[in-house]
Amino acid sequence: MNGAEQAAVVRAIMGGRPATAEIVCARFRVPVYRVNLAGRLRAVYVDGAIGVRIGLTRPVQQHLILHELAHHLMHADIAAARFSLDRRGATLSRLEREAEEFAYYFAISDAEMGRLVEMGWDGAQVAAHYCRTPAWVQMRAMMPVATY
Amino acid sequence: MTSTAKPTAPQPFGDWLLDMLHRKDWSQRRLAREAGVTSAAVSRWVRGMDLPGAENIARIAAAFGLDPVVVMHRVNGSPPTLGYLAALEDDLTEEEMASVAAFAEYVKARRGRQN
Repeated sequence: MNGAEQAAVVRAIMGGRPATAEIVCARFRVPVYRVNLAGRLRAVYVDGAIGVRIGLTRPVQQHLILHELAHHLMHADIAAARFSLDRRGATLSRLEREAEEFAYYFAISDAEMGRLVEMGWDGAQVAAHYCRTPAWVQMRAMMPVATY
Repeated sequence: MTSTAKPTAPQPFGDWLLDMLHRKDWSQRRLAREAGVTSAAVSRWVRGMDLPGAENIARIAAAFGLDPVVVMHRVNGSPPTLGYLAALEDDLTEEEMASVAAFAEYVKARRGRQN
């Protein structure tokens, strides 16, 4: 299952309703903690729990939490996964790509993206509505329609 | 930093599905009927030739009276409980590694208090 398909599964489990990353994590019984992380670390996944660096903006936190949740849902059985630590500028392995896919496609599905385009929403409007940054919206807009 | 104990290998989804059918004394056809899917689909799942997607995960869950999350974990092959710390990137500083270890201890301590 790729990240986009996993996102569709989780959306279905959440009843298709909008939900914050924390609510989604609660549904899957994954606690989220705001913690002091050293150096370049922004988020960490360890033993079924997510740690997010204190002081990050809410849009960044939302994306990181969903990314880490994806590791929990999709990669928990891979003992040697080199993914638990997400830091800016890291080269993305397949697992990282899947987790990023999940975080993007869960936040805005392809169907929603299509509707937003039809309604003529600009990047700033979408960012405000979905609690993301305009740069995030730009990235999401460039992602292909998911196939699975 | 090294990994802690690894989880046991997850049961293939098809095997789990077959177990569930035996437990409920259902035929594959009965599951197909209860879940609103084709018998061919159930057969492919049981034989490990295919996995259900989002919609069918929900249907299987409803048919068995299970939380869809349970079925989803079975499809993904991820165990319901976890006990390992993934290996780390090579170029983490000692400070960063210590930070991760501290978080792991924090999680363990919180779980200990909750149990």
